[in-house]
Amino acid sequence: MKTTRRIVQFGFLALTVVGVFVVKGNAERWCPFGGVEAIYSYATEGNMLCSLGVSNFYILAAVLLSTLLLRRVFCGYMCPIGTVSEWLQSGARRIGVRALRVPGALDRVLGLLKYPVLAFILFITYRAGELLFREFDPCYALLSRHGEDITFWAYVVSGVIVVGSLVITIPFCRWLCPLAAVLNPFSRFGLTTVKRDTKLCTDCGVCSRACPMNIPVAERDRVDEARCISCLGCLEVCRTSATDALSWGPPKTLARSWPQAALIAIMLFCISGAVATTYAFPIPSFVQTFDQTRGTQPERTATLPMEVNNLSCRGNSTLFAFFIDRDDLYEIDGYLKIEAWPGPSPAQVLITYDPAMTDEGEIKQAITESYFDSEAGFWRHSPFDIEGYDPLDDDD
Amino acid sequence: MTRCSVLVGLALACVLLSPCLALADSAGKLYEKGTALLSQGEFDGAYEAFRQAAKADPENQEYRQQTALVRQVIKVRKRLGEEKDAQKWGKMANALRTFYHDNQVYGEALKIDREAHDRMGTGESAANLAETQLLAGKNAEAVELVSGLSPEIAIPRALAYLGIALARQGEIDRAKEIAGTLKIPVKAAAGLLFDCACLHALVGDKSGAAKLLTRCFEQTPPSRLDGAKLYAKQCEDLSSMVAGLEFAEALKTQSKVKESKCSGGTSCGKCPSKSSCSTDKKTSSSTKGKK
Repeated sequence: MKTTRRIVQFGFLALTVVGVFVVKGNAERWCPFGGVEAIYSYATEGNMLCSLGVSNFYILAAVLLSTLLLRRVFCGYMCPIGTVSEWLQSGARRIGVRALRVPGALDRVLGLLKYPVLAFILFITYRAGELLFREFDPCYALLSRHGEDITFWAYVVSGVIVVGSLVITIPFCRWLCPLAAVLNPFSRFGLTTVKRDTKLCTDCGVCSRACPMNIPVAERDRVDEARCISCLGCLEVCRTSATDALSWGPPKTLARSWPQAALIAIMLFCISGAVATTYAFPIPSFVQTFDQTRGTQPERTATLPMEVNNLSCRGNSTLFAFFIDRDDLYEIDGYLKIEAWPGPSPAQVLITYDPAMTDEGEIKQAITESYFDSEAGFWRHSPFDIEGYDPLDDDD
Repeated sequence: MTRCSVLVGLALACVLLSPCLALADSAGKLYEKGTALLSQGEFDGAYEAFRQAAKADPENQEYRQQTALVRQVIKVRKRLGEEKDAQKWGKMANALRTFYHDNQVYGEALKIDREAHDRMGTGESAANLAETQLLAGKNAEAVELVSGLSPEIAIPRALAYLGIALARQGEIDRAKEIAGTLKIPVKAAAGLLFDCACLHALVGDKSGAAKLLTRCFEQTPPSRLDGAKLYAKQCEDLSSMVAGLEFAEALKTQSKVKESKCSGGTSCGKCPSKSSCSTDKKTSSSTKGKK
């Protein structure tokens, strides 16, 4: 079981590393916590924060679903921080560094810290409309290829987690992780659980000692703790596993015990569903409408799909809309809707317009031609290139 | 054999690189030609030169941007004559004026400023015209213009230009009087502060000029600060104080203006324009004048 879990952890970590450092994708788009942070802005403005996309929502939904089914399986099998943190402690143990055992009561108190951490992050994010926490986020520091917003403190936090993980088992996951604070209420009602057959159990306590989340498994008939990450480490070490003193599965079950393979299959199904949904239902991350008739579409509309360079986030998208909404020589008349998927170049954009009032050529000119910013008092050069379009060829 | 290989390699590199260098060199020459034609007011010739430069060096963003900008300016110049709406005319004129100043096409800037002042007759239009007259070296005309303004429209900026024009013509006493009585608003714009600094420098008040220059740089957005400092170093009106310690101290001033990073797309949370940033669907209906 441990080996199988390690393989799954390695698979997700490798996928993350390859996606970020080889394919140079945007790892932020696949972070479930990004979905939590973006809920407010999406609900109030219809746009995602920074360079997040609706894939964050799909992944969040998949993680929440898997948590309802399998408790905090995301933490136990998929999270890169959890994986690295766990492996650091495992490696430290091999070279003789003993993990500090935190007493249960203290552990529970420390575990409450994640809730004010979550509240604080959400408060500053919702107020600012920006991922301010990013500057201190250890995950972002490592996976953004040292993104522009990274500060010295992100590496300090990363360093503290690394050092802490050498002497304490997954301290960040147990005490500080804001995503854990979101998942716990769902995990509390998780459909699957570890069960202990008191008739078969010899009360040796080895299962409690093996639990990375400090759950007293030996004192439970069922492990209902929200913090259970379904690692099944307790099952593996149970000395009476031959007689199935510990088992894992639904509380009222067709079979008394489910194999670990079922856990992994359900988890992968949820995540695959999220990935498939992202590509099957690519909802734009940025939407803006310019309309003289205040919300009424014209009878006939046309669409112009484009691939645009230098449109990586909401800030760029706002500037893109600024250029389209210009009021000079290249102003565009009539109904106009921008749907954009900001990201690594080229980004996808779809413009819906009234063909009776404007055309594709005018739209492209509006996006790429310099615009005099009368408020600022200088000419703004457009940072946007449209794939397959050269404004210098457009001589009329 | 080894030495021979190295020599052959070098020769090959030269042969392969030389067309690229030649192209870049010719693109540069074309760009310079365009700039020269532009300063003479030869817009069509300048556009053609810039276009050729952009073709010769397609990777050079500056050539492409300048080509597109000059093309747009040519179109705006044609449209300006036909524009009936006063507000739109004013905006176009302002855009052209900024372009002319940026590219030192003062002859054209004078024409447009004169027309704007004839149409509007405000203190602002008078100040704009005076500014361009000074840049074009027409000091006497600037004095005549501002001296003839009624007190209600003789705004501080116009008076500053009057002082500068007088000082350049050697009428230091009159210029000093203007410098002494000029009321500079507490939250004066960087441009006005710079002009007042020039006036004070010309009348010999280097300490006052340095203080004004410091305030000017504090009010200049960070993205334009280097350009402003370079301009100050090259400005003839400030030449008497360039070698001084006070000037050197003023050049160390950092901007106190919070500038939007919207173009770069980073840090929306710290963006000072965030509250006016139109991502709200309620304000998405365009409020600009439509045809």
